[in-house]
Amino acid sequence: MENNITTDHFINRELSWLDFNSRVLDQAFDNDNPVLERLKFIAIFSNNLDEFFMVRVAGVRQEYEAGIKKKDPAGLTPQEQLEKINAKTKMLVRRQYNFLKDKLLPELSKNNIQLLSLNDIPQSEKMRLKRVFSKDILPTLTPVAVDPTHPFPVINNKVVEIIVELKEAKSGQTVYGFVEVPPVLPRFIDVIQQEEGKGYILIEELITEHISMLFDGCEIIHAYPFRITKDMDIIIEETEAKDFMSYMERKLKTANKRDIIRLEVPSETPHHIIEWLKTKFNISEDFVFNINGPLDLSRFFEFISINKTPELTDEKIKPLEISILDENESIFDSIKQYKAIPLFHPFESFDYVVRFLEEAAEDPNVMAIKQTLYRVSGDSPIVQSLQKAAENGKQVTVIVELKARFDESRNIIWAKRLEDSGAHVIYGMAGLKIHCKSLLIIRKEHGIIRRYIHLGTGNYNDSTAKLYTDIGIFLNDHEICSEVASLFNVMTGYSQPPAWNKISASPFNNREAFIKLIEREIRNTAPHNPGRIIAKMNSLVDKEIIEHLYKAAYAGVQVDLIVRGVCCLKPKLKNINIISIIDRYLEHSRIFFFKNNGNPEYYLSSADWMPRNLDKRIELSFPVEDDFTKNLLHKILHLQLNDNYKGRRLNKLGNYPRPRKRDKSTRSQIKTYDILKKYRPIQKHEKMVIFKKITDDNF
Amino acid sequence: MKTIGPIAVIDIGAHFVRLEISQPVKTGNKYETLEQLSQVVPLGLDVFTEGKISTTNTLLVCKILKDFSRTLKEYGVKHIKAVATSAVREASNSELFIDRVKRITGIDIKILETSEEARILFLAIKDILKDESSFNSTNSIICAIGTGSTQISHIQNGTIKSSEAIRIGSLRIVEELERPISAKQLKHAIKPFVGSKTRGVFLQACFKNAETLIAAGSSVRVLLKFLNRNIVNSNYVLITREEFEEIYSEIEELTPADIAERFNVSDPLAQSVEPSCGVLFHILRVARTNKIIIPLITTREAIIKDYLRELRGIPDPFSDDLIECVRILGERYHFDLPHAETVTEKAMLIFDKTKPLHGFSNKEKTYLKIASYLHDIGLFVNSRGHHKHSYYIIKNSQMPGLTAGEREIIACIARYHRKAIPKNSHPEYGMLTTKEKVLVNDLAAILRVADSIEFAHNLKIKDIILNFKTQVIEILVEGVVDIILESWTLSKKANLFKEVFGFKIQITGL
Repeated sequence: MENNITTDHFINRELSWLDFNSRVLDQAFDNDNPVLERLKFIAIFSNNLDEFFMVRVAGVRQEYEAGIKKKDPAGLTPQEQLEKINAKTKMLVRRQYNFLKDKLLPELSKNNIQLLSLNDIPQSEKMRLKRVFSKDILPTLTPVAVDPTHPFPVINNKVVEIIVELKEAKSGQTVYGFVEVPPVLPRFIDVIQQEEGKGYILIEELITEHISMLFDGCEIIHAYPFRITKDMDIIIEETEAKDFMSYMERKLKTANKRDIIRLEVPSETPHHIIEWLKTKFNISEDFVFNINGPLDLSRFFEFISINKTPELTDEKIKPLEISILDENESIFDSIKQYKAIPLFHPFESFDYVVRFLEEAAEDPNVMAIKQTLYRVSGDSPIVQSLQKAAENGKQVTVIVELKARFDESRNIIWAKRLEDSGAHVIYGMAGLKIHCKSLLIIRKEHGIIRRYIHLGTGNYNDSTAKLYTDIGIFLNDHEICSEVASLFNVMTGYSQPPAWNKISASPFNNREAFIKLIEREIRNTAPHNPGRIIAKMNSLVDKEIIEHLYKAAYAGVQVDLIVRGVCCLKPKLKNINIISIIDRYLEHSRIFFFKNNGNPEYYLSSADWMPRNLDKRIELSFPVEDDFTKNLLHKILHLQLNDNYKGRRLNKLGNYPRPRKRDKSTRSQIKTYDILKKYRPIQKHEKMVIFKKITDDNF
Repeated sequence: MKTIGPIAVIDIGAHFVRLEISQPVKTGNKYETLEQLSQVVPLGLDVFTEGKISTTNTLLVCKILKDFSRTLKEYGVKHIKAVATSAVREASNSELFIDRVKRITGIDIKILETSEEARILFLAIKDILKDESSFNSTNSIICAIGTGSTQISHIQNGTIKSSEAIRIGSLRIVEELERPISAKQLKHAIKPFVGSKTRGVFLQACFKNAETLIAAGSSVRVLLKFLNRNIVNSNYVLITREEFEEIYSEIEELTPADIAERFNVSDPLAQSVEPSCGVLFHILRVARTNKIIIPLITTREAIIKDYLRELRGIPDPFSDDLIECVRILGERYHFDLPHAETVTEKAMLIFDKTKPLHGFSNKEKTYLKIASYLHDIGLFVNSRGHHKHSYYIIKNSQMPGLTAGEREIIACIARYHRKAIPKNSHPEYGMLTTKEKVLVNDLAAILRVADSIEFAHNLKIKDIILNFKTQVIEILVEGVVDIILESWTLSKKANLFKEVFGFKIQITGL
C-alpha cells in the first residue's frame, strides 16, 4: 500500500469553506424547510460570505500581494487560491440570487409576503411613500460630493451606499456623490396594499427615487447602490498589545481606513461608474461582483423577523426540563449528588447555567467565581450575575476575550462595567485568544473548600445557546477542578502551566494530547480488532493532525469524522468516513471518541482541529468520565454518523454529493432531542439511566 | 475536631516562587491539594553569582506574591506559611528583601534554615519509609540535594543520629564555577568539585558502610524518568547502584537541553540533574552503598505536612530524634553521660513543677533539655571557663530542627549554668531580644538549681513544693542534707533563681 501523504490527500481550506457555505445555501433549496427558514439560510449564506471575505480572502490576498508563492497542503499558491475562490464564489452567489428570484420570492408571494419594486406600486401609494421618505428618512441622510478640495469620503464596511453621478448646474461639470443608507434604518419599508398580505420595498430604492432632493440644483444622471467589504483581519502586534483595551479601541477606530477587498454592484450599474469605483477603491475586476438582485442579503434576517409566523418557520422545540436541576433545590447539592450533570443545548435550556451563577452570586458560602467570557452580549444575564456576585463581596475573576471578531466594541463597554463593580477583569493574554469555556466556583462548606465547575463546548451566551448545539457539563471531580483552577492561574498570569493529567489545554499540550490518543489507537489496532476514532468538530484544518489521521487509517483504524464546516482532509481511503451536518441548529459541539482497545474514552473540547485552536488560543479539552454522559455522547455520535437527511458525506474526490435517498427518520438533531427526552430522569432523585456497556457493535 | 480550613505554603526557592493551597481531609495527616501556582524567578542566579538578590527580582517576587494574595483571598486562607530556602537564606541582603516583601505584599517570609529543612524532610521520609526494613533496622544516609546546599543526615535504625549541611547544591555548582564555562568543561569539573566540597563530612565513621542511600530533591526525582518502570501507588522507588551508574553514564552523554526536551522538565531543573548525580556518585563511593531509595516527596509537601501537624496541635514527633542527635553530639565531645542525664532529669522536674511561675510550653522545655544535656560539653576544651566553651560549641554545632537563633538561646542557657549571671555587657547575651533574655534567665535559673542538686551527690528529689505565701520553693530530698554543701552550692547557684522568680530555695531532707 502506498502510504505517502501527498497534496492529493488535502483539500484547500478556503475552497472547503466555500463548499460548506454552499451546503448552507442548499438548506435554502430544501423543500422540507419552511419558507422563512429557507430565506434565513440565504441570509446566513451572505453573512458568512461577508466574514469570509473580510478575514480569509483578505488574508490570502495579503499573502498574494506580499509575493508569497508558498503552496498550501493541497498544493495551491495564494494566486491559484484567489482565482479558484473567485470563480467558486461568483458561481455560488449567482446560484443564490437566481434561486431567490425564481423560487423563494415567488414562494413568499404565495404566502402573501411580497418584496415589491416601485414600479409595482400604484401612484397613490407612491405618494404616501414619498411622504414617509421626506419625514423619516431624508433627515438621516448625508450626501457627500467628491471634489478635489476634500479628501475622499469614508465609505463604511458592509453598508449599502448609493453612488450618484450628477451634473452641476452652474459649472455643467459631471461629479460623483455618495449617500450612505444608514444601517440603523429598516431595510424594508412597508407598502400598504389593496389586497391581503404584506408588501415591502427596499429602502435604497426609495432613496434613489428621491435622490434629487439631496442634491439641490444638480441634475442627477445616475444613482445606484453598491456595497464594499474591507479587510478586517486584525493582526495584533505583540509590542503594542500591552495595554490591550486602549489598543483594541484604537484598532476599531482605524478599521474604516482598511483595504477594500470586495465591491458589489447591481448588474445594471453602468460600466463607467464601476470603472470609476474600481479606480477609487483600488480593486481589480476579479473582486467586483455583479449582483442580480438586492445587495446585502444578510439583512433579510430583519425581513424574517418582521414576517415571522408559526406556519412559515420551524416548529418550536421546547427545551427539556431537567428535573434534577429543579428550581427548589440548590444546584450545588445536585452536582454533589450526581457528580456530573451534562447539558445538551439547545435541546436543554441554558438557563440552568445562568441559574448556577445566580445562585452562586447570592450564596453566602461562595467565596470566589472565575469565568472565561467570549462573545457575550452586555445585557447578558451571565454578566449581570457576575456583577451581582462582585457587589456581594465575592472574589470574581473574569477573563474577557476582546478579540472575539467583530464584537469588540460591545465587549469593551460591559467589561468596564464589570470592573467598576469590583470584579477582577483580565483582558486576554497577549497573542493568545482565550477560547476555552470554563466556570469555576469556590465554596466553603462547613469549613471545607469545595469546588464546582461548568465546562463546555460553547460560549457563555444565552442567545447563541438557543441556536447552537453545544454540550456543557457540571462537575465536582477534585482532580479536574484542580486542573481547571490551574488553567485559570495560567490565564490570569499567576502561574506557569503545570503538567496536567486529565485535561489538556492549548497552546500547551492539547495538540500533543490528541496526537498521543491517535497514536495509541494506531498501536492498538489489529486486523481482527481495528481501532476507532470518532471526532466531531466544526473544522478540520490542522496538517499534522490530518497526517496522523491518515497514518491511523493506513494502519487500519476506522476514522469517522463529523465535520460541519471546513474539512481539509480528502478521504482517499475506505476506512475514513466524513460527514457534515447542517440543520436548523448550528452544529457546534466538539466530541472526541477513542476506542482504546475496548475501554472507550470520550473527550469534549472547545477546540477544533485547526492550527489556530491548537497553537494560538487557550483552549480546553477534558475527559468525560461518567457513564450517563458517555452513553449519551455515544448515542449522539451514532445518530450523527447515520444522518442521511441533513448529513452529507465527503467523497474521495473532495465533494459533498446530495444523498440519493433521504430518510427523514435519520435526522440526527430531532433524534437527539427524542433520546434526551427518553433518558433524562423524570422524577427527582431517580437514578440516572445507565445504558448497557458500550461495545463496538452498538455503532 | 475543629476544622482548620485551607492552608497555604509559599515557597521561595532558587528558581521558582510557588504557592500551594491545601486542606486537611478527615482521616490521618492526609491533605488534598487545591491549588498549585508556580512562577519562575531566578533568585539562585542572583545569589550564587552576586551574593545578593537584585532589585528587579525583589520586585518580581512582590508582584507574584500580590497575585498569589488574590488566590489566597479566593479560598479564604487564614493559615499561611511563607518560607524561603537556599537562595534567600544565603543572600547578603536577605533581611532587606524580606522586609521589602513584607511591606509591599503583607506576606511575612521566614527563612527555612537547613536544619529545619532537614527536620521536616526527615519526618516526611520517616513517614514514607515506615514499613521499609532497611530504613528501620540498619544504617542509612539521607542526602537531600537542594539548589544551594545539600543536607546529609546519618540514620540508624530509623532514628536520626546527626545531620549536616554542606554548601554544595545542584545550582551552586553551575553558578560557582568560573564563567563562562562550556558544557564540556562543566562536565569535567563536577566530580573534583564535589569531592573537594564533601571531604570533611565523611570523616565521621558512621557514614561508612551505610546500607542505603536515601536521595531526595527534585533533581534526583528526574532520574526516575530514565527508568523504564511504572511507578504507581508508591511513595518511594528503590534502585540499585548499577542502575544509578547506568543512568549517570547516560546523563553524561546528554546536554541539559536534551533532558529538558526529552522529559518535559524546566531548564533549570534539567541543568541540575548532572551535578546532582555527581554528588550521589561521590557519596555512594565513599559510603560504599549499593542501594538507593528515592522518596517521592517534595520539600513543599513535607512543609505542608509539618504545618498541618502544628496547626492540629500534635506534638512534634521529631523531639525524640533531636535529643538523640544531641546525645550523639555530646558523645563526640566525650561528655559525662550519667551526669548530663541526671541534671536533665532534675531540670525537667523543676521545669514542670515551677510551671506556674514561668508558664513556658513544650518548645522551651526542649531548649532547657538540650542545654541541660550539653551544659558541660565545654569541658572537652578546658575545665576553666568551660561554660564559655559550651556556649561556643553549642552555637556552632548543627542540630536538625533547630534554627541558628534557637541554638543561640540554648547556648546561652548552658553558658549561664555557672559563674556570672546574665549581664547586658556580655556580648552573647546583649544581642538577644528582650523576650529571649527573659527566656535565657528563667531557663538558666532552673538549670543552675538542677546542676547544684546533682553536684550535691545524687540527691534524690522526692517532691518540690511551691509555697506562694512564704515565697519559698521547698525541694524534698531523700536522706540527710549535707549543710555545707547546700550552703556552698545553692547560695551561689540559686541567686539567679531568686532574682528571676523571687523565690528562695530550700532543701529539706526526709
